[in-house]
Amino acid sequence: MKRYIAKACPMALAICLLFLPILQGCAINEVREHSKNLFALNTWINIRIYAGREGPKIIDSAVRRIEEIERRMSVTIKDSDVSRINDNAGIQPVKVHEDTFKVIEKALEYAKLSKGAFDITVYPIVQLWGITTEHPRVPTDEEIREKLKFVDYQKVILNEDEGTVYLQEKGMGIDLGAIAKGYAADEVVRVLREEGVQHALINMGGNVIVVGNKPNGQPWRIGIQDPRSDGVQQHIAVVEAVNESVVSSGDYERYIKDVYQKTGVRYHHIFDPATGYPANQGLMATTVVAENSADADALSTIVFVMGAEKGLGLVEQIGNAEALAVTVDKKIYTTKGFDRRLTVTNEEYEIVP
Amino acid sequence: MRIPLKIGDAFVYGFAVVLVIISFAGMYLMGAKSDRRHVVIEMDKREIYSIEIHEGMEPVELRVDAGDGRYNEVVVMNGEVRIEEANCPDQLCVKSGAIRSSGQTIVCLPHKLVVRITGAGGEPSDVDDIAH
Repeated sequence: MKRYIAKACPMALAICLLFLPILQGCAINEVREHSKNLFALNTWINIRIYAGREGPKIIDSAVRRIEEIERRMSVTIKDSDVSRINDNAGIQPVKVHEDTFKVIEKALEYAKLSKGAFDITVYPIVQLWGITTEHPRVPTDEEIREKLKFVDYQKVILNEDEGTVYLQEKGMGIDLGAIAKGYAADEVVRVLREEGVQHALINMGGNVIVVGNKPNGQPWRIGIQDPRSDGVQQHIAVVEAVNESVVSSGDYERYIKDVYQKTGVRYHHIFDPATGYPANQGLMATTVVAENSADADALSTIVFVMGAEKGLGLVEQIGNAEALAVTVDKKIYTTKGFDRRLTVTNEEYEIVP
Repeated sequence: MRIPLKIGDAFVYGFAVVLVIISFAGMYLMGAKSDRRHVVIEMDKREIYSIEIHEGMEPVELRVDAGDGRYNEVVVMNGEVRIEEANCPDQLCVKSGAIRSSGQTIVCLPHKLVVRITGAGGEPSDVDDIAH
């Protein structure tokens, strides 16, 4: 009997040793970074998550969600909800998917709060200028006046029971570009959380949203783009973020380059619905930090259109976000207390209390 | 007390030891591999190049064809990568300059091109991302 035990011991040890690396391999379903880039919603999107082996699958479900939202809300896709709404302006209400309805509802809320500074019906003006197309141009005052007639968010009629959207006048059109990316980011976060992801960073064409903190327990450090670095990725300040979205808007990404080179006037892509011209409130950029990316997305546009004083005042009044505005003379104004969260990293810029 | 070691036993022990060594070696090699930096070039979601980079490497010049005569010229040298030239309308990829740290990216939206650095190493970037 003793002999068997004595013999079995080393044998058992050997078997344990044999399985050790395999066991470790299993236990290792090690949490590591998974990253994916894609082009959707007319921009570049990067999804970075920390997960085990299931990481790629989780990212795929997030990507499917983005593509769904794109199919419903893109103005460049012919049979999207938004295109059908626009095609039926002045004709009939259009039944849309719940996603589209929710986003338009939120957009109209912000239109009211901002007294029209944020207005999805600015699309005819957007088309007239064509800033994001290959052939942008400066229209005449006459052309702008003509199109401004069609800009009025109060003529967007929602019917909640029917799930329909109706634009009351022919010639009207909506563009969800200033809020859809934010909504999509929030939906990605929802998918990731449902799958148990604890740490993630999503960049939707410059809109950043983070899930949790970093895997090492530190907050995420998000840079705020230098609006005058001529495209180079450089930041003027850093904000630390946990479970938040950081969204910037500005005059520096899309503007008519040849007109700028000749005249020094920057005709950029954020329009003031009141004038039909690019917003001109002495700002180069705005950044909003909020729990929801859709809120941050809409508010960054609102502050840019309303200007530092009124815009930041409105953000404080709504109370769901923090914001900063960078003026053309490189001063950074913030909502109350937000300056304490910022570290300025470019000495040309200065926070004004 | 003596335990006779049979040939079969010795074979089993030997086999176990060899397996253990191979497994650990494999894990070590896999682990070491992910420490190196790679430049990954993706065109419209497809990975088309993955190049290991380090200081003092031979420069690599690549012309990435985006179809319809559209192109980006990518230069990989000295542990960094940049877009030397491109015929995209916005030229943002060229202006992005060189990147060298893991996680950094250059994007050419009109050509659906992404150049990024994976793996560990390089000077760590001082931020995790930039909101723009």
